[in-house]
Amino acid sequence: MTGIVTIFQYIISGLAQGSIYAVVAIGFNIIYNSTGIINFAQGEFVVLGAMVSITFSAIFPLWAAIAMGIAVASLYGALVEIVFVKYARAFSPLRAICLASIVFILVSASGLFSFLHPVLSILFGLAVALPFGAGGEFLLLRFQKEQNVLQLIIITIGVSILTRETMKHVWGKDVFALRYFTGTAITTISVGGVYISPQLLWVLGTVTLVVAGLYLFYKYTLVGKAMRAVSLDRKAAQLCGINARLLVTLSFILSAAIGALAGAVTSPQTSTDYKMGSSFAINGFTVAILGGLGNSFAAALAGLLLGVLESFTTAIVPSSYKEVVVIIIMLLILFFKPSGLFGKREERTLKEF
Amino acid sequence: MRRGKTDALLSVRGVSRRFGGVQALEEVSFEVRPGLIKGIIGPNGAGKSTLFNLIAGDFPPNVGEIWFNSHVITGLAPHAVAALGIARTFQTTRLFEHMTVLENVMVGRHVRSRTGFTGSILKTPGARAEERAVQARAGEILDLFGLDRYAAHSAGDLAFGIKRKVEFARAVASEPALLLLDEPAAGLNIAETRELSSLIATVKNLGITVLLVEHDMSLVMNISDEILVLNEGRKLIEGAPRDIQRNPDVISVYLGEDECSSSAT
Amino acid sequence: MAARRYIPLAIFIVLLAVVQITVSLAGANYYLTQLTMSLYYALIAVGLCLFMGYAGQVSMGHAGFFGIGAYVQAVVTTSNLLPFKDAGAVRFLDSIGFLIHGKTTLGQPVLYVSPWLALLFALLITVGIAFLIGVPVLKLKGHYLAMATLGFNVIVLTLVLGVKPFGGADGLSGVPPFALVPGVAVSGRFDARVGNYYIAAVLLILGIVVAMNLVRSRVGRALRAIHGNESAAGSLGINTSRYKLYTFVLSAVFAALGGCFLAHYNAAIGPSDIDIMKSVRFVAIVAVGGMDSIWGVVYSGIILTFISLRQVFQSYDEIFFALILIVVMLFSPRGFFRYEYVKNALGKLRARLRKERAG
Ligand SMILES: Nc1ncnc2c1ncn2[C@@H]1O[C@H](COP(=O)(O)OP(=O)(O)OP(=O)(O)O)[C@@H](O)[C@H]1O
Ligand SMILES: [Mg+2]
Repeated sequence: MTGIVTIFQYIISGLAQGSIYAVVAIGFNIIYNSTGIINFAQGEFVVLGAMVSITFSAIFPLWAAIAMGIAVASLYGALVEIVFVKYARAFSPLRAICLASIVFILVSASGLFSFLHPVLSILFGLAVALPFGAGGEFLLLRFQKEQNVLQLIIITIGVSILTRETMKHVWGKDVFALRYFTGTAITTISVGGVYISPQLLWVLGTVTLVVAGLYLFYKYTLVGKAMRAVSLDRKAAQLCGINARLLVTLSFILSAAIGALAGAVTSPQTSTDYKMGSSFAINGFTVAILGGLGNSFAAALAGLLLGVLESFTTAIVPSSYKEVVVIIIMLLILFFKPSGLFGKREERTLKEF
Repeated sequence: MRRGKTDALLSVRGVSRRFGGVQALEEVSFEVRPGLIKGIIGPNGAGKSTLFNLIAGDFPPNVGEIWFNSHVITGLAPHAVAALGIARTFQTTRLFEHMTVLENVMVGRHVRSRTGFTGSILKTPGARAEERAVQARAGEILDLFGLDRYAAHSAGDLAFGIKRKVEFARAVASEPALLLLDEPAAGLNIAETRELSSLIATVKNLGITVLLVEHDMSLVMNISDEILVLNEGRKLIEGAPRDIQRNPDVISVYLGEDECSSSAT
Repeated sequence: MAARRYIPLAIFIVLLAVVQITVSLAGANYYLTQLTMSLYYALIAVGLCLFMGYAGQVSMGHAGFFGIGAYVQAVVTTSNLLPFKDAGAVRFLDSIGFLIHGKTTLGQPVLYVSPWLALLFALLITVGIAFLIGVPVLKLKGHYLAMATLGFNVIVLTLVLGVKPFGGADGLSGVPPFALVPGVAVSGRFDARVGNYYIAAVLLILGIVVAMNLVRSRVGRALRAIHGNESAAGSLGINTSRYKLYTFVLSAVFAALGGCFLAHYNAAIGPSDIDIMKSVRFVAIVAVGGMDSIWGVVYSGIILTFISLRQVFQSYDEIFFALILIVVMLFSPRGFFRYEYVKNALGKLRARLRKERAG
């Protein structure tokens, strides 16, 4: 009897961990579908969302921080704008504003204490990650001279490091955690002898909502349909009058947004530090290819699967080797079934990148 | 060893290939005798390029065998097929754009030279001598194709017609026994096509057997010794150009898919 | 014509000497320490340049190979065999001169494997692992290849941290000097700075010559062909997977060689030297140098590493590397330090001078 309960315990904690992988993987897929590239900075979106949520979950004397932030940010925004304008050949106020807001928030976010309601702080987190996603897209993907995969890979890696290191300077190397949404770390509810934290329900509920929401979005909204059209055939979609560029921006916003959301809801249990992004990225990427790159619903399943798998392996191997296990799974999939568990072999050869 | 001895250079036996739901080739068999030019025609999507890709080893057939010089070459990797003496051009030119024309043609000499990593790194006398020989031979090929004045040009900067010619020269540089040309005349103007036609004849005189996929009917009909017609993945007919031109099936295939050629009636 | 090829090499050698003499005359020999390390890192970058710039592949895991070289070298040469001195194998190795009787910094006697033998061993292991990894991994392209090599790096790092003999988070220290020939040793001793600078310089120059010879040969041409169009290269008889694999292995050897020498030079190696950020750094150096420009990569390797080691950007070092990576990819994907840029600029200058003289 206790054996079964233990197994359930493993499954439940695996599901929680897997949920976040699923969401990171979905983030990969959203961007992959609209641009054909893997955004290595996806993991940082998650961390950023969590960090900002945590910071804003504190109350602080607002005006001083804001004033200083605005000043520094405007200067920095102007500087970067000048550098980029020179090459982009057109002044883009939007880009300047994006840059300014990133820096404004990062600067004003440092060293702020006190407490806000967690839901409110998540909203703040989202508000930060959205323009950041948009800004990243504007700066880095638009003004490519010649797009080739190697360059794009290197650029998104650069963005990921830039983001991570900036976060290190803003928040330091400490580990933070958001407050539990309901109760505390030791609050549990018993379901048939299995004790689970209510936070787990928040996590699973959120992921379910995200997946369902995305499904409805892609299926029923005009924008969602347009995004699907672009991912199937960009040229044809453009001929039909779809503004593909705008949709690319949108896809960055969307994937940053759900990443940030996931980062925030999982933070109470998993904690957050500035350098978690790369392992999110590795796990999320593993999940994305496990499900078949581009297929978000398969990714949701694959995420939960990997989470549970990982949860069981921690029972066997030391948890410091957890990542090695995931990487080995990733390599095996890449070598033997690159189209993913649910994909057909032919599909990948058709979608060269 | 299975029996497969014929006097044919290339022998394609019952080859089929499927892509998902598309049956690109079905039970195609034919032979190519040495020293000849064999034309392959057929409407768009007939499976001509797929046939070339199968012969060249890009992917294996689902069923069937391909024999070359009494070796089975089915399932060999492209580089191994090339090493046996089959060279090809592509329907859309695939040059090494950031290399010069001379270098492109020198790469064509790859199978005819052997310096490896050690020889290259140590710059052995043998390696140097071979390098000089490769360069000299590539130069001769450029002369043959009238490309000598482009030798130092970057391949990516060339005009379309020249690119085609460079790709052709690069394939010939490997001195293959069999040369696969996939629509070499596509996109060329009349003068260029005429030049191409005489180059193909020159290549034949060098002793190279040519398999030619082409939509330009006057070119194929004039230059080919034999013609194979593919339609929807199947072999429709095979024979001398005259007979093919008169064949009612061939005419109907071309009429059926392309109204512009109705003047042929 | 052939002599012309050696002009950049001659310039480089003169520059190296000029830098050393200037620094020494200025009494600032401590600069030589970082310069020496920069030379070793440039060697690694040259190897990666062959794989990325010429074969057109991507590796986010070369710090892993660097680590394998350095750690194997360090483990082997810091293992004291004195307790086993009566074992048959130890006695045999000692009798043929493959063991060294030395003293630790504290003056205790130690018996350890000759660094030469360790080097051979480290390189063989690197070659073996590079082959094993390379065969499956190099079938991948683009993002998949980047992720797989990155995964390799993470695995190496995790193993190094987790396996006891590798010293965990502390790494290994007390790596003895490497006596190349009697009297010439790779070590970080202050009075040996100048000599060590030239040891690193000779190794780098050897690496450059190897790379240049390779690039200007049938093999180099084949690699560039693979980069340009893999299917066309295959159709011309180039065994693309074998060429990629050999180049991968060669570049891994360059990285491991750098690691082996640096382990002796710094007398230590630690996990922070082999994390993913270091791999990214190597990629940044190659990108800034211009991917397929060996000289560009040499200069960018020396300059960027030196800047970083001097801690010019302090804790913003990683940000600096990330920014430079982004900027170079956005605005000058062919790199900053290309020889042809210099050549073009000189050409323009010459043309202008000529015009002025004429008009
Ligand atoms: N790699 C591939 N993957 C999927 N389908 C393919 C592939 N190559 C060819 N096909 C399909 O196989 C069929 C035959 O194509 P193929 O290119 O051989 O025709 P073709 O005779 O060369 O036509 P064209 O005259 O237009 O060049 C087509 O329906 C094509 O879509
Ligand atoms: Mg075709």
